[in-house]
Amino acid sequence: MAILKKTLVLTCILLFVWKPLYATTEQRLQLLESQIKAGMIYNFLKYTEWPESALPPAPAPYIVCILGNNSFSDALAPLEKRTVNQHTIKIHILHNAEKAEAQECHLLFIGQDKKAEWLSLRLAVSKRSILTVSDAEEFFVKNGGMIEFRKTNNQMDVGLNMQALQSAQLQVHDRLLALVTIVHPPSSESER
Amino acid sequence: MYTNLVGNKIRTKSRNCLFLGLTTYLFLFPEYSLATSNEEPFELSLEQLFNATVISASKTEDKWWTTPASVYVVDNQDIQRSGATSIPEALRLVPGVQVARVNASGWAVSVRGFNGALANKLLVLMDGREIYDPLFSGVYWDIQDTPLEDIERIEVIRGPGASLWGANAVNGVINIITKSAADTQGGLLSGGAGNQEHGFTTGRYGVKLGENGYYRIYGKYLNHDNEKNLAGINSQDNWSAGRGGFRADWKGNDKKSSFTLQGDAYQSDSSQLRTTPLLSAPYSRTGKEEITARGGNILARWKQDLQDDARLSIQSYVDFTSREQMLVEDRRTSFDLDAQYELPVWNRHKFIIGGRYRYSADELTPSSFVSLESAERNDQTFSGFMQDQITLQPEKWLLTLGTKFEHNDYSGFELQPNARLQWHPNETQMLWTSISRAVRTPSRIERDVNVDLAAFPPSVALPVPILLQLQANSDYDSEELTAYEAGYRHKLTSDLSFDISTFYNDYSKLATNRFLPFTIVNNGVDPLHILFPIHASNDTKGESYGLETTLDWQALEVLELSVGYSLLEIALHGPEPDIAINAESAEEQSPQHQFNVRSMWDITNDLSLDTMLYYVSSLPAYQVPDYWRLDTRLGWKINRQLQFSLVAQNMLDSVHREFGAPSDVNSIEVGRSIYGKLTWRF
Repeated sequence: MAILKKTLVLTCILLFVWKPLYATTEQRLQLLESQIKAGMIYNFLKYTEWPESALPPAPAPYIVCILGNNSFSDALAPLEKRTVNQHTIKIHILHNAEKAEAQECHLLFIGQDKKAEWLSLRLAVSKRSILTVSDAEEFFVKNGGMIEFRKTNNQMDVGLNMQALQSAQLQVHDRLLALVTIVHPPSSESER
Repeated sequence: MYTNLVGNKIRTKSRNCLFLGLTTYLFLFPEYSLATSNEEPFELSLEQLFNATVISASKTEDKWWTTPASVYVVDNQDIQRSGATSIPEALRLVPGVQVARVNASGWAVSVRGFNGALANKLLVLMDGREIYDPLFSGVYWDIQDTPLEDIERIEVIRGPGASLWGANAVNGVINIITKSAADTQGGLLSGGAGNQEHGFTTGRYGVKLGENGYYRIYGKYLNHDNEKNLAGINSQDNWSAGRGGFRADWKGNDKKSSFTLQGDAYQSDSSQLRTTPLLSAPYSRTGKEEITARGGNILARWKQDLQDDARLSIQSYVDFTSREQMLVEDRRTSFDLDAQYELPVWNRHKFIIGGRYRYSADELTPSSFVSLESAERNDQTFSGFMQDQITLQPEKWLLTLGTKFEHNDYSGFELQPNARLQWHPNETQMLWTSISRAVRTPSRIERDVNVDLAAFPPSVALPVPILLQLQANSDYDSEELTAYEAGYRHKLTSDLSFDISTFYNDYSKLATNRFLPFTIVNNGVDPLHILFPIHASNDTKGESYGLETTLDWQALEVLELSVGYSLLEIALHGPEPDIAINAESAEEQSPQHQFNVRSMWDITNDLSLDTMLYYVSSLPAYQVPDYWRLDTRLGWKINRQLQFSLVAQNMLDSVHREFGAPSDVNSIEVGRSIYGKLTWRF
């Protein structure tokens, strides 16, 4: 064990000595994809304004719904212990694409394995104030979804469909808008 | 085809390890800290999230889990932690793959039996490029020496993959996939040495190429010492090899298209002992055979995502190889063009269609022991495939129907259909079953080459020597297989998963060495002798059955255990021994039982210990006794840039044999190997 400790101490010293080097080469945080997505979903709640008709006053909960495969349920779970803008948060795992259930959500995540289900849910959901999010790259925002996770070159990017947000009466904070890629789907595709 | 049939498997393990490492690091340097909570990213600002680097833990996740075939994926971490120094050594990790070291530079690798130094019922691909040699339909593993650091994963499909992958994907497909240049940015320098591995070194450097592109170059050199053969004599098989190459990847501005250009050039110098026949006393001679293999390839691939999930991919490559050795020198140029189109999902159907053209030109230079029907040969193969995945009941029942149709210059038209049915009773379980047909098309040696195999001295009964000669058979046809498979997977808990596949293979027209009428040769040039010719015919039938099973258990956050077992039973029915020789020998050339236990333990953030224990049952055909093999690796992360590992292989016995008959001068005794390796990333 003494050797282990020594090793650890040595490693720590090395880390300190090498720290300036990191500061130049390693400015970025390294995070798991699931952590980034969970963190972003939290921030989507934080930087989106729902109309009063859709979200009762605090502490009424935000209902976050998950449909389909995702890699971040575990990372998202601790969210229930938090509040955003004084609202509590509830996570619902949907097992099938029931319209009634989906219409109760404030944020609906569609896994990329549920593209077909999205196409059937889309009409029922898009006129309501439901922030829709998916990791179905190059599919979701083209097909009436609002926010799409896109991973490129080891960084997470977000595609955002303004038209879909506006018609759902959702307002996104400029701080978030400044970071995302605004997508303008062909009008025939974006709505309806 | 170059479709990846399976994706990455989840590694909760690496996640934990990375996480621990990360938190330690963040604890030391609070400016990068995840603040109050180490596990929750909710304290991070939007800007931090958008700028963060994604650590890959689940890229294409679980895709293999829903593939209705017997699939096993070895990822980069598995390879690194196995301590393997070559691709065939890394394949030992896969339950149901038979790996045996023949000598310093040679391995016998097969799936579901019929093993040999040039096992011919297995298709091996490197980034979609076929790497088996059409002269023998086998793989020369000494030239498949891509740096292991650059390999993203190896997908192994046990069982026929012919409908998608093409001829010779009879008993299995091994698909080696290298990392995208985007994932190998910066520099890497690694090197090591040991008692058997006299020295190996790899260098790689990756840079950004314009706005959307990445590029890397690499070089590698190795030197492996002579092994010892059964008599304890130096088998003069030392091996040195060098290679270099590049890979560039671009993504289109719209991220819908990607383009890859890659290439390698290599030279491998090895040697072995070879016994050649003589028609006068002492009737055979054993000498050192030098083997020089050189080659290069360049490959381009373009993928375009289209509307509604449709996708088009086109790939083309040129590959040049030359191999100089005692019996025959082989120079070959291949060209391959391959296109694949995934149609938009239509109702419940997902169609994929593809087409392929392959041109292969060779030039053989025979030795005095070999004569050829033709010294040069140009072959063309045209093939197409189509597949429809039908959703019978969403998320529950899926049926995949597909077929490959091919026309080649050896056996003409070949049809290789398959049907696969899968059922997901719930999210944690899957059952699948399949029926497929696959063929192994004739190789050049069976059709065109005559080889003097052995000479037998005169005896009292027969006062002249006998020459055994393998002759070409222009009527030799494809070997055929009908395979029936079924499998079951279960994620028992989030930490424990189980996978089993079973198969029954029905073979016909298997290669058989059939005797031809003997002749007395008195040509005035050679001494008077009797010529005993044999040739390859399709006279053997057979069945095999067996299973492969794996249990993976994430016992602790820092400890992952896995157990694998495979069973293989082969029964062949060839002609009587007076008509053919060794018709049924393949029955006993592959182990009946294989078993492995592996543990990957992170002792601390910086120290890891990996242990692999293998059991391989006997090979009666070669009088190879069963053996246990224990490999361990100790890894030490000195800092974020430097890593040291110490590997000890074959710790249980000083020597054991893995392949080859005792009479074969080239069958070596595999001894203990210890080496240290230092890796520097910058």
